[in-house]
Amino acid sequence: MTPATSVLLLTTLTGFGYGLIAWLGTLAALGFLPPAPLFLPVAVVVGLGFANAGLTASMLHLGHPERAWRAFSQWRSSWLAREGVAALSTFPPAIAFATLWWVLGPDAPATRTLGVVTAVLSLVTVGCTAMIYASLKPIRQWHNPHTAPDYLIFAVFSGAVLLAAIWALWFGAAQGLAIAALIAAVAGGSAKFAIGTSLTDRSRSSLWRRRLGLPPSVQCARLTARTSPKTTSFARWATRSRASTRSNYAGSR
Amino acid sequence: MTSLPQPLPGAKKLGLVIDLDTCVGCHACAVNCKEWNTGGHYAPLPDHEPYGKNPDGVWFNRIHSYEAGCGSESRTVNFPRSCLHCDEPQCVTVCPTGASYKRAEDGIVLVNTDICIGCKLCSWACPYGAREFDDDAGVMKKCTLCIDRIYNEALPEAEREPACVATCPSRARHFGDLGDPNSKVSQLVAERGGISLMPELGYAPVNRYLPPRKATIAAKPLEQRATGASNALLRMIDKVLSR
Repeated sequence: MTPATSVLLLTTLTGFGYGLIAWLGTLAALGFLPPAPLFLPVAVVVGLGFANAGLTASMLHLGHPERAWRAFSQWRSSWLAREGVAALSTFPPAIAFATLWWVLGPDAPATRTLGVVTAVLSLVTVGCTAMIYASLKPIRQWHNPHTAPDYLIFAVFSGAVLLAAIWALWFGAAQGLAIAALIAAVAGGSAKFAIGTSLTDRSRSSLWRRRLGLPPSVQCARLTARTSPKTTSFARWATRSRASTRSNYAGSR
Repeated sequence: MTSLPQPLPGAKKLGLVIDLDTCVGCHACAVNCKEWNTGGHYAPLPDHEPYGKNPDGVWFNRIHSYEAGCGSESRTVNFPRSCLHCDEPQCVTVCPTGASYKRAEDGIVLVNTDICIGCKLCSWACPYGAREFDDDAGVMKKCTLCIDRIYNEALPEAEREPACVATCPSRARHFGDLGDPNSKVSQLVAERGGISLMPELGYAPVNRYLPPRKATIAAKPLEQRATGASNALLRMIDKVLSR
């Protein structure tokens, strides 16, 4: 199963964008950002730019991009619709947050409150994206407890990297931020390692064979290889030609 | 609306019962399905490179042939695959637009191709591979249980069944109301120990599959050549005929 390139772009670019905005909102609320009047507005625009690029990319794989507006309607049942709603509803508070920073200043309670709101909505958006995949029961590589936290960890990591880069361009290197990005990188790496080791359980596809009282097909292949080594090349040829006939008929993808 | 409908009291649960014992893997169901549906509800069903190296296209019915078992226990199992019209279809609930829906009155799962955006998420949510994307139209299509046959008053009543069922030469496919325990199909399922596919995923599929019966049939032992002191002529005839 290979997701469309546009979906890969969506998940990584929105991870960068919303991750950055989540960092900006949180750090601004805590008063950790330098009070330069233009820094935060520019950084928020960069974050929204990444998010927008990801959302636009996601429309490229649609059969009918012009109908994409319909995808907001089924938020009661669909994580994809919820993602769309959350993604768009992050934009107004983020823009208001950047504007208030510029107009009222970083320390105004309204600025800090909007910073928290923006950060929360950003993480909710990433969480909804994660749940699109985590909720797909047939795909065990995604339908597991790793998917949702991993998306959040990677968004926090890529947001930290992006913020460290913008900060470094603006004010010079920031040690604290670099350490935070490094910690997030280690967390991301550990998450990747954890999911790799958890996916070794038996394939679900063999379940229905067992229900029908049929042995798993692998058994037969092993038996053939062990008992008649001389016919292996013929068996291989036969298997191959059979497989090709089957896929021609079934048209399986 | 992609939220699932409240089940109506006494509503039908239309579905198929497929006999894996008598299915001979002839693909007639797939062909007749294509034939009907390419002019039916979701017409057309396009093909790409049908005679090329990688033939592909929209087929609501696909048949997979498996070799199962080893030695004398080995057998071929032909496995026709189509939409199971699940009671808990995640393909419906994941749809962001409301294009996918399940009918309350008979349980048939359909797509409104006029509002489908072609995001393909439903095809990822279906564990049975029943969703078929039409690249030409940019929308998802699927088995309709021949909704345009089973309620079609222009057809003689005997023909108001899905195209795959109507055409099956070994009568391996049966259509009916699986919500009614007294229907013919429900009784067939009960009698043959019909199973549902991957019930552990919780989709509550409506279609049922009848498992293959035992493969070997006990045959009478071969006749032994007559021995002993019987008629010499008969012994000679037996020897010639036994050759």
